[in-house]
Amino acid sequence: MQRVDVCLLVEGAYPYVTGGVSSWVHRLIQGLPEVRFGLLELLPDRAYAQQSRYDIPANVVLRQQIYLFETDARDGVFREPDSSFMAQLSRLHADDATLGCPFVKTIDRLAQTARLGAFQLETARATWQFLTNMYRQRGHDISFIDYVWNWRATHGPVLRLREVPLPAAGIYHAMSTGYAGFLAALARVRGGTRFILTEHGLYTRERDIEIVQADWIYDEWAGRSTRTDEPFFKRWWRRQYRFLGKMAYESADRIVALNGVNHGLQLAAGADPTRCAIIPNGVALARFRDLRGTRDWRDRPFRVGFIGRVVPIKDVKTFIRAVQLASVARPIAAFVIGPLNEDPGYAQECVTLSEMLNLSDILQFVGAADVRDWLSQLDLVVLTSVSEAQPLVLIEAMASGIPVIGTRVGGCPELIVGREGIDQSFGPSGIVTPVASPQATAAAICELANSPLRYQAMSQAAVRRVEHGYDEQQLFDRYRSMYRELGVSPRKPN
Amino acid sequence: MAGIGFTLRRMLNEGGILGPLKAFHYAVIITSGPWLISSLSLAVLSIYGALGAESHEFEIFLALVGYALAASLINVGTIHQVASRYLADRLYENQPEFFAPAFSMLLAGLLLVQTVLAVLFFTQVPLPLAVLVASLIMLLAISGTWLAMTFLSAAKDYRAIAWAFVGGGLVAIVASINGGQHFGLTGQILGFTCGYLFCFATLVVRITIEFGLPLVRPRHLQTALVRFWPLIVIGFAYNLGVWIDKILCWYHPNTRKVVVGALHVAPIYDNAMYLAYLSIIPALALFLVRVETDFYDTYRTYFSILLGRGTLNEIEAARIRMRDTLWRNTALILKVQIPLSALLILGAPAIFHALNLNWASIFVFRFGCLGALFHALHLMILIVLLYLEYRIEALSLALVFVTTNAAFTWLAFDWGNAYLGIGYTIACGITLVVGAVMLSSALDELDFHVFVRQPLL
Repeated sequence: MQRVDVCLLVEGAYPYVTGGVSSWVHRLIQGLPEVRFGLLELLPDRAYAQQSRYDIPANVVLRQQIYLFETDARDGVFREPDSSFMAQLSRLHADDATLGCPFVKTIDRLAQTARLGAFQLETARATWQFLTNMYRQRGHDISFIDYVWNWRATHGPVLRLREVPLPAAGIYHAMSTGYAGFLAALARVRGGTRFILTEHGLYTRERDIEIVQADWIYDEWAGRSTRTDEPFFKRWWRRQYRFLGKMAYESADRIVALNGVNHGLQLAAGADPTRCAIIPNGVALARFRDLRGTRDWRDRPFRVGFIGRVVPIKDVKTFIRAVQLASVARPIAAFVIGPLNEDPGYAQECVTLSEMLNLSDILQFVGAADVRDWLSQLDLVVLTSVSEAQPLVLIEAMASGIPVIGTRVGGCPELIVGREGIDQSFGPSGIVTPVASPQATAAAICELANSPLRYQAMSQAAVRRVEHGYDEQQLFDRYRSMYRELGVSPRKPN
Repeated sequence: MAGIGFTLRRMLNEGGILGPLKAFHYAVIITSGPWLISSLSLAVLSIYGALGAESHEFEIFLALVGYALAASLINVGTIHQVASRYLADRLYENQPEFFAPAFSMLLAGLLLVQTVLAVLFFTQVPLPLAVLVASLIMLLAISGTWLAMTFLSAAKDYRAIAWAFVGGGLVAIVASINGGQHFGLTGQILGFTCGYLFCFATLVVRITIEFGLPLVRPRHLQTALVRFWPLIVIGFAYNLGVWIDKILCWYHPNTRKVVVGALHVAPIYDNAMYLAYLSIIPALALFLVRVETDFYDTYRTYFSILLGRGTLNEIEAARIRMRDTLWRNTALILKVQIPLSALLILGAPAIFHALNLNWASIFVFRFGCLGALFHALHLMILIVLLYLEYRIEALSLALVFVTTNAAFTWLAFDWGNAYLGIGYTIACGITLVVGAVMLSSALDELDFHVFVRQPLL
């Protein structure tokens, strides 16, 4: 297999899904044309690997798909792991304190010597014996069929990853903890490569939310009025992802967060401060500089835009309600700019809500469109999300000299009021609002629309802030030098 | 990072362990029913012959009936388990509209194969064309009857089956005697065929009433034939095993009697064997009744606890209850069948005297009774293995049966006529021991099999 400089590990995103992580990866590859990238795509199964949504740049010289939950077990070889291996495995399971960095190595070595793969995990008598012993020894009193499936679903992908032939690379750069982080940790402990972890959102926390809501995980308390404990299998899954996260944090040479909030959470989850860094998102500022002209809405309605996918996590309904409230106070024109097909049911609810509030003349659902064209039209960009890492759309709006309104989630506040030191001295580049508050959002819209001086100050602060800290070139430079520090010095582009 | 949870959900739902609970029956009635009905027909006919209707024509008739029954049982037996499985799957997915199409398609294929085989065989049998044509019609009527029976069994319409056979039997007796008196051999064959045609027609009418006309293409039929190939091999091997000793006797110089051309009989062997088979009717009837009630109940309980999120202890307890029920019922069957078989073995002279049978066959009858006792037991084991989806084990068992029965029957020819039939006894004994060991370990590691191995098959 061809050796690459940097192997990117992406779980269920680039290049099949558009969104924050995907576009970040795409821009990074384009921004470092001298680096020869490999792309490890971790996908749930074959059905997921549909059409690529991006034109893969030429400096991606290797692509490999890994299917985490593929049940192609029929092709496996029946083989029994030896008994001394099973004894060691019991000792490992008996002591949670051993979990951690050395543990990646232990798992890897044990599975290697025992020749235990995902197929043997599912089919060997010894592992079945082990499983039933664990169930009995720990005195479990829980659905056994769920115990078996959950055991397979938590352990299978980890063992499957062990069997993946890893391309030779100077650096493994994972976009998340979880399976991508585990695979990078494996490569790291096997030697010959370094490991960078860049987290956009925080994978473990995102999984926590998903697991709490998941109805596919059996909840033994469901339907009972009193619950004394977290459901057994949900706790299991959350532990699983925390465990994977811990292994990634302990093995990574560099741990990058996009903003200060997530950086703090990484430290709290056990990341070593000396290996941590914050590298914010960046945009190609040059593309937005010519959109910075003065905006004058004295003779027309104030134009407010929501830019993003119309999906529940963005809470578009709060935006719609805010538009209704603001429109009572002053003339405005509002636009929802972004694809409606990602969650058609939710999108339809939003359209219906808008009709019920009689906003047909004021609010327009534009659908997917070129963001830059719209930024030249808009006076204000509003983001009502209930969860965000560091939304590119706010940076792009600010780069165009447009103040922004954003909710108090993830990296939004520090994008709007600045992180620390000089960044804060620029002043606010917009208004931070509470989550799910149409009133506060409407008030913020009116405040900006009614006070052109304040608008002007925020517009200038926005431009200064992005010019100072959110230039894409800075991001490329920092990763370029990080790659170099870790031993990757690609040849100069011709 | 969307998509992971969704896919997991799909994976958790697709256990692949639902197979056994699809409520299909490898019921003893379709596994052994046609065989016992055939044995009864042949035994009655040969006794009738022995009691005074002996003639060369009757011998030809008896030989032709024997061949037709053997060919129909082996060929229908080859597809009956896979057909049952297909029907059970369609029933489970609530698609009964595919029953009639599947029946007509399998019937067409079966009749085609039988016709080709019959024509090939008839080139070696110099009999009048009318007789051969009548024999072909007989073969097709019998084959169609067994297949129709498989389909109605899947619908659990046992009553219709029973009445069809009672009616068919009466028609066969009356029509074949009358036909024989008025139109000779051809008339006798056609008269006998009338009985099966009556039966076949009744069953087809029932199928049509129950499932309608074959108006659509039978979906998934080919897939089922490919996916469940072990069931096809099991069906073929097991049914060939039932007949292989007789076929060998038809052609071995020690026992054969050439009727005409390639049409042989082995009267010294056949008649006593057919009679001996009838001795295990009580065992199989008991098994039918017990499996339908006790064992099947515990079997269902096991799976519903397992799928209903029971704990490991509850699952274990249900498995042990199922195992104990099975052994208890086996003991009960043995308590009835062993004395009965012993009585028949000891009382053989009285039976032979009463029925005016050939005394040279008395040892065949005794070995046959003992062998049939073992045979009944390993047949039950086979059925239970199939219930529990131990297809590879069932396949091995069927192969053990056919190979040992062929091998020991062949070897026993050298041991002299006093040991005629012992090959079958030894083969059934070996198959029983192998089967009992298999079943015992199958029941011990059923959890492992259900969760781990069975979804892979």
